[in-house]
Amino acid sequence: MKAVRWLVFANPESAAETTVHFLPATPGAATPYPVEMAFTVYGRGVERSRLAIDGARLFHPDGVRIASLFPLESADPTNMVALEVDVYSSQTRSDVSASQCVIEFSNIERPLKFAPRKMIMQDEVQGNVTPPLTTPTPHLLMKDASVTPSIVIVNGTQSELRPGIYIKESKGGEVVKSIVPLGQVPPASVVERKLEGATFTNLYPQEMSWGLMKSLSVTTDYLPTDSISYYLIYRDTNTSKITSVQAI
Amino acid sequence: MKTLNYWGPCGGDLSSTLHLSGNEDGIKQGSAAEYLLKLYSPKGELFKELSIGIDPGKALSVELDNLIGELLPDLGFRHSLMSLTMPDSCAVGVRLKSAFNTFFAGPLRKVSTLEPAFFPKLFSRSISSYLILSNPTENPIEAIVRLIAPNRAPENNYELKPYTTKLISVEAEFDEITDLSMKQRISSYVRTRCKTENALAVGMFEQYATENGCNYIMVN
Repeated sequence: MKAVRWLVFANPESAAETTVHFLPATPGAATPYPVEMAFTVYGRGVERSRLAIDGARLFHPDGVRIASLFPLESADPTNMVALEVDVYSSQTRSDVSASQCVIEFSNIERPLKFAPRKMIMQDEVQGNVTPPLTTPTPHLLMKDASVTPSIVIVNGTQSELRPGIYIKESKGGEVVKSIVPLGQVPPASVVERKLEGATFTNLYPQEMSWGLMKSLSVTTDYLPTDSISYYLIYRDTNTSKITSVQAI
Repeated sequence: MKTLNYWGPCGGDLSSTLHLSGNEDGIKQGSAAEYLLKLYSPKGELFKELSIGIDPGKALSVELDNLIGELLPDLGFRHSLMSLTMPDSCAVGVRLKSAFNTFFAGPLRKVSTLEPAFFPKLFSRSISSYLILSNPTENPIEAIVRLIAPNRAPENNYELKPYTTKLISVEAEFDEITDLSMKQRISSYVRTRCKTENALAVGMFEQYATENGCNYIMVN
């Protein structure tokens, strides 16, 4: 059996204003048989809570507002909320690894929509629990006068986490891989960490039509089965509103 | 080496910039990152092909208005499929800017017979949604697009010639739902798949009209 989990965070401006859109799918054709879905929330000041829902079917997209499942309206807005979404099937040979998910943060002017980090969960019965090896994928961070990047870290583990986000730079002709200083993340929590100005200090600015811009390439370091996810978010420098979210 | 496909629009107050990083794995050897950037018009013509070398630790940005300004507008936008071949350790970003917001777009999603793509779509008078269907391969692809709305699920097929990009106005293509949405907002989903093994590249671009002007988003 192959199940799928997405590890993401709720809208930092209002956790209740988060909608999970999902498309349960198998690789290849199949009849639209029912699949199971479960939602879990946790975070600082939010007790871990899990709720399974009925009615999801293969190849039939649907969505659910998180506020209809959990009473998040009363959540402290200064604490971010982690969200796990599981799709699985009780049929032993089923494989829902082609399932898709889009998270929507509602906003008065325009929503934000993005695909969260997907984890393929292998069943131990199948005897294939070794996570596939993946090459760390580099991602580009950009900073200019209009947007400021930061990293959201979702730590779904039960231990404290030192985020594994790295930059490579040349020091004395040698390649030095240094960790981006993002501090420690408590167990079962989600935090947003601004990238300190020092991270961009030694970079050459590029002159663009809208002003100066700096960019930085980072790589992440985790196994596909780790209950950790990282998101690059950009905030408008003037309003602090989120303008983009990308899973990295 | 890897190849990623991006979509870049320009027009009105909207502009796009492509950002390319240096090859961090080449720092020790001092070797430059070699990019091959191919720009295809919506009709599939390769109208620009650039080899770009970027020194380790450096970055380069390309403002697309200068490259795709000569293309004819399509649904009000000049746009191009950008196919980038680069070393695995290189990173790319696309920055889109309008008068009211700046945001970033990832690569187009790959769709195959095994893996569909879907996008939430809200029908409302103030929202215009554009589905981007690109064929980055040398073979034709048939894209199957279904709009799944309450009590209705119309489906359209699109034949995409090699390297073409079709920008689809969801409101115009599925006008029966658009007509219904004049009375109330309708939540729906756009599901895309293809019949061949060739990977189709898809994306969703949306325009939100406000009192002050237009906001745009890409579903990342």
